[in-house]
Formats: sequence, C-alpha cells, structure tokens
Amino acid sequence: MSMPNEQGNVDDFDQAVLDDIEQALATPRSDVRDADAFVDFCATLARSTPKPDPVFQQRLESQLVALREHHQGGPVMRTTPVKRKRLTWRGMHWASGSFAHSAWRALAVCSLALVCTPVLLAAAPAARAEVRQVLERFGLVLVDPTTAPAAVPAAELGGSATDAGATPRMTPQELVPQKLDRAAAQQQVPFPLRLPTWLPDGMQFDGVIVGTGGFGCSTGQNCATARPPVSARAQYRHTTNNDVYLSVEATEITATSGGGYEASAAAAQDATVHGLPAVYVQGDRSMLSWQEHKLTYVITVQGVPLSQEELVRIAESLR
Amino acid sequence: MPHQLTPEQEQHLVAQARSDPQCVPDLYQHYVSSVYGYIGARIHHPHDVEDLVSETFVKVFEHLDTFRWQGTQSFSAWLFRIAHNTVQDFQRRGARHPGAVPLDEVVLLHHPARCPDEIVMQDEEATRLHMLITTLSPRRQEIVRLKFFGNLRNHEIAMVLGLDERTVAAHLCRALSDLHQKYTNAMEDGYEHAQ
Repeated sequence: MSMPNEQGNVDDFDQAVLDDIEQALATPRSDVRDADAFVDFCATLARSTPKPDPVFQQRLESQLVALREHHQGGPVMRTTPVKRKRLTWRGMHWASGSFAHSAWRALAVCSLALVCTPVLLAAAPAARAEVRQVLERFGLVLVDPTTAPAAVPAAELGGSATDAGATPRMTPQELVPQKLDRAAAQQQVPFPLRLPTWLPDGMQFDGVIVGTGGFGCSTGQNCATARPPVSARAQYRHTTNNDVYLSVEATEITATSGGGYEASAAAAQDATVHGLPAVYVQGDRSMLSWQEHKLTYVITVQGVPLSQEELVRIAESLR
Repeated sequence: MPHQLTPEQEQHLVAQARSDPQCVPDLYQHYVSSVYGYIGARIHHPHDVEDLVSETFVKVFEHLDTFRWQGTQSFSAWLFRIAHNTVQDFQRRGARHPGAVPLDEVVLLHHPARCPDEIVMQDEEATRLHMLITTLSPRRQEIVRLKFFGNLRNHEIAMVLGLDERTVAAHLCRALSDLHQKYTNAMEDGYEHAQ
C-alpha cells in the first residue's frame, strides 16, 4: 500500500482514500455495512462521536442568547412581531417558495388552527400531566426507552430557550462556571451548603460550582415571574484515578423546578435516604436523588461501581 | 452530525446572530454537536467537556462582532480554533486530563436512556476506536478528531491548525490507513481470543 508523505504529496491512491473518507462522512450510518471495509471503518468512526446532553444544550443556548442581549444592552425591543425561524433549510426553502406568499396559505393555516386548537387544548393537559407524573422524580427524568423521543420534548427539559422572559440576565463572567471553595460557595447560595463527610477512599474535594436554573434541571415554567432555582454542585475526584468522578448537587425546589437528568426508567430503583423516598439509578453513571430541606439532591458517580448502600451512605453523611 | 453549510448560509447565520440575539440559537445549534463531539473526543469527564464547550461558545459569541471573514468557511475555522485553544489551555492549566483517552470511558454515557445492550456494544466500539486514535501522533490525532468529530473540511482543518491543505490531506490518509489497519488487527485478535 502506498502512503502519502509528510510534505503533503497526495497521489491518486491517496485521493481515493480521501474520497472514501468523504463518502463515509456523508453517510455515517449502518447502511454502509456492505460497502468497502475502509469506508465502513470510517463510517463507524464517525458514528462514535460523543453527543451532548439535550438539557445542557438547551441551557447553554439560553445563556448565549442572554450574553448577546447583554452585549447589545438588553433584550431587543421590537416594534413588529418576531418571525421566529429555526435552522431548517428545508423549511426555509419551503417558506421562500411561491406558496409562502400565497393568501391561500394564510387562509389554510388559520382554518386548520381554528379547527385544531380546541381539540388540542382539551387533550393536552391530561396527557401532559400523565407524562410528567411518570417521568420526573427528584431531579431525574426517568425515561422509557421505547417512548423517550416523544415523551421528553426539549422544551420540557430545558424550557423555552429563546423566551426572553425566561432567560436570566447574566454577565459574561457568570456564564463560565467557576469552581469555588466551600466558604465562597456558601456565600452565593441561599441555603445551607451540605457536603458529604463520608466518601469512598481516595476521593478528594475539587470545588463547588454555583449556578441558577439547575444543572440537570431547568424549566420554562413561570420563569418570568419566579426566581429560577439556585444550584450548587460539589465535585470530587480520585487522587490517583482520573476516571473516577463524584458530584453532589443540591438544587432549590421552587415554583419553576422541573425536568432533570435523563435516566433509564428500567435502571431506576426505589431507595430511602434518612427515611425519605429516593431514586437510585444503576449504570455506568450511577445516581441517587431525593428531596430534603426544600432541596433536590442528586449524587452522581462514574468510573467506579458504587452500590445503592454506598450512595445512601454518602447521602446520609451530608453535613 | 449536521450537514456542512455553504459559505452563503454560514455568512447569513453569522450576520443574523450578530444583529439579533434571538437568532443566536440558529448559529449555535448548527455547531454545538460538532464542537461537543470534538471536545468530547479529547476530554474525559462530561462536566469538563460541558464546561469547555460553554467556554468556547461564550468566547465566540462575546467576540462575534470582532470576527472578520477571511475566506470561505472561515467562521467554522475560527470557532474550532477557539475550541482547540480552549482545550489546550485547559490541559496546560490542570494537566489532570492528558490527551490520552481512558480505556473504559470514552464516549461517556450522556444518554443513559439507551438500553444497556446498546450502550455496551456502541460504547465498547467507540472506546476501542478512540483508544486507537491516541496511538497516532498528536498532530494526526487532532486532524482525525477535527475531521470526524468536528465535521470540518480539509481546508478548514488546515486553517485551524495553521497547515497547508495538502498536508492535512496527507496526514489524514496516513492516519486513517493506520487506524484501519490497527482496528482490523485488533478485531482479528479479538476473534482469535474468542475462539
């Protein structure tokens, strides 16, 4: 097999390799399984891309909108209604076509809205209540894998990202999380900061990150009128093993609390902390969550398998 | 992985995000998966990855007004240059998480709702692949990650890393051929052990 040299000479063979790479990246799905082994390998590599958590993605989006508004001196004042457009080029093409400018389109949309709105309004509250009751427990969103995509819409998890009323004004410094020591963190949260007095061997304190809106929890409910919940996440790392990570997160329970870390409903087990009901999720990232002192606590451990008893022991050692 | 934008589409999005904060999500959403994929392939802990992705985007949107076009697709290159530097700074600061990806936890389980079998199979394969990438030279590691996880074109990678486009292509060919060979060998070894 000929190989390109380090100076950047690319011969025909190399060009064929590059073409294969582009082909694999254009179709990084399993339907290239029968293709050339090299293309298959490249497609497999492309599929291994780490994916962001949707809650994180939504939260950051809200913060960036707030950042730009901050730069421009506050939320943009408009004299005309906003034409909100999501990034769907297919939709843009449709909207720019002749049908978009047609009076018939407006008439059709209005008619459809008139017919559908009462039906949707009547049906939505019951269905929504049922889903939320099943999914949300103590800062976790327990998801049935077979219904996950439909049951957990992004707005449900992360709130309305572009709703100016729901976006707290933050300075650029506030947008990048800072690790604080316990005393400094305590000054920034309106509740007693409790940290574990028992931890598995080798774990050491790495700092506390304080934020609003919750790390796993954020919401679009009543944010315009209610203060968003404050969260404090204490982080711990192993002294010798970088793979081991533990965090204890406390989030205020407020009128705007909702959503949470997504977890598999099948992996969730009932537990108790100080006799209070809790949820333990077993997996590569184990979690224990419960509510106490008007706070939602979520302990997360990864890189080391901890039993339910060990996580409960950590939880009950908070002081 | 999002499709790559034409220069006109990219310029349109950047111009809108500059003038109207409510258009920021359009630009952000197009790139967040790629930036996360690139940083997630270099950094181990998901909280660190999220912090670095946040830091990258905050820098980008803070300085969006100062960004100047220097050719086609230069916004992608600018964005990933910032991501690249942010990760480098992080690794220099802490030196806690070297570039090497740990064996057992590469694609961290950001989607625990997946069924356990799916998690195990996909993550084992991802782990194996990401481990193989760490056997390449640092430059080739970076090119492969920008190409496959950052979804950049070769000339954009060249702009991020300050290289000639043909050099990027040459490194990419060599790196992928090496990786494929090692992957094939590893699979055959695993099959023989299974026998």
